[in-house]
Amino acid sequence: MAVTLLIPVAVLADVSLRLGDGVRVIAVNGDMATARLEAGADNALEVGNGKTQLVVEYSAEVRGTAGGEFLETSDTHVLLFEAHETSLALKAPDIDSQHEMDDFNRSRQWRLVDHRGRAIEYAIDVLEKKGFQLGRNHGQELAAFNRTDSPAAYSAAAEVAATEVAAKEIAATEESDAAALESVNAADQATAESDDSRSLADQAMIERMLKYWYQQASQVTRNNFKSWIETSH
Amino acid sequence: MRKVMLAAAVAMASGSASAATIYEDGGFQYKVNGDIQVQLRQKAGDDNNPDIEFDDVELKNYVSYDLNDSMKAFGRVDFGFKDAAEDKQSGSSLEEAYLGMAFGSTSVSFGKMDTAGDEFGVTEAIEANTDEDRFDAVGATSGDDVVRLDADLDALYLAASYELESEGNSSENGEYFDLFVSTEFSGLALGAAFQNWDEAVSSGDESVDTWGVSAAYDAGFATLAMDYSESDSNIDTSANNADQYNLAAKFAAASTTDIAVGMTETSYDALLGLDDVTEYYANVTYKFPSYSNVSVFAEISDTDEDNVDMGYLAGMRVKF
Repeated sequence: MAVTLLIPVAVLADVSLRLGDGVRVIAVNGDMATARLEAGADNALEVGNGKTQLVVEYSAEVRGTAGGEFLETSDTHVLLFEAHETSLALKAPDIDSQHEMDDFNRSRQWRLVDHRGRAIEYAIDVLEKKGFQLGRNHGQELAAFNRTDSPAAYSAAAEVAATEVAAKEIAATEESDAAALESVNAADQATAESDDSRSLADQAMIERMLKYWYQQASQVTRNNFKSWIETSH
Repeated sequence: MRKVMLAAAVAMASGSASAATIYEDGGFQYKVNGDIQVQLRQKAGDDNNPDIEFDDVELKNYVSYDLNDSMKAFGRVDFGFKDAAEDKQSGSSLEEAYLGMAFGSTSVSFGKMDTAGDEFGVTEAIEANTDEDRFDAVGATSGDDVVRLDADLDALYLAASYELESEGNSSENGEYFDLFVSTEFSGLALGAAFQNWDEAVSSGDESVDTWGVSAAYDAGFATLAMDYSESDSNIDTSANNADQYNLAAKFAAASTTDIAVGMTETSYDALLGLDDVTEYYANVTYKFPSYSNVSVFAEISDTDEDNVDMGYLAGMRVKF
């Protein structure tokens, strides 16, 4: 049985997220620098496969409680979802009155759907700051929020730790595979022609395993992995 | 006041458009909205000169208390400094001041505010040379002693207001009752309004009934709208005996740019011997993609009156 690790060089597609009108993304996985993006049919936010945490608000011109029209913004919501190699759309419901905006703040019913219109599950919570709202530090607030047990809390450090554990397990597997490689290859030499179909099945399984762990990896781990590929092959 | 057309009630393009919440804690909110609009304008007319105009210069303050899950107390104090900016200041800059209670989707408010009839209309003109509709023409679209009811009933919106006669008081403006109702379905928004206005006793004894209907349709590539309004006075020789219609269309030339064209025609009772007046306008508005609450715009307009030159304006607006 040939156990030769084939390293996939091609980068897997990420998740494309199209934002509806009025949707403002304040942070993506804690990163605020790249979050100021345009909404519209031609603009999409590219995020990695796996879990994505968004800090979002929705703004619209709405009819006031006693008439008139005013610019109104929703509460700041933290939204956590998981997706792989797909296109998504994030919208708020049609809101044209203060009353409907109040309902939206209570219900937090965002519409997150894939390219087929199927609803994507997400966890959601409010990023709340009591008192004066001017000069809010969303970065600090989000860091504190992610230390809570909210279902929308996301810890990149925890994700990295989990990935490192998995990487160690893979490394241990690789070492034992390498140690057995010599004896396996020697045995394969004698039966190489008749075992071709079985070897292909092993490689297909290995490729699936590699894709699975790549999708579970954080962006940092992926970058490290790609660097290793480039320098060692 | 600019009316909310069907497409205008849609979310703004994303960016940093957001109202300014100043304070929020324990169910209490204090929000500030602003609307500053400055324009270089030459009005349509005979040998007019251009000048810098302000429309609007508003600072709006809103507070609310969540008394429980379905009841809220609210108040608003809005200031407008447009007249002061144009050296036309006389009297207070206070535009609205009222308190109210909201019970779910229904609210009752009391004070100085716009009437229900002010919700009517579909015009997309930035600056109209004629009145926007007959409700604006009669001039009773706001009051100082207003009791107002607003109800958001799923697809139906209802507003009713009553300006107390307040005879003998400094706030006496006459007595008028307004009713406005609108509904929206399948991209079509329909509206209807009625007002019964009695002139202040100290000013005269004119009484005017005004009514109007409107429709706006979102056809995808454009929003098309029209309205018709008519006012009838008990005084045959009053200029309030007239009817008016508006046609308007709004296109999204790009995700950041809207173009609107429209016309309005006012017809007076034959007894008055006044010519009908038709006004045409076309304007373009560009909202900055990064900050969609900042926009620049331009408009040309003209009427079919004799000795009237085309008017134009160009300006900038910041809303928050």
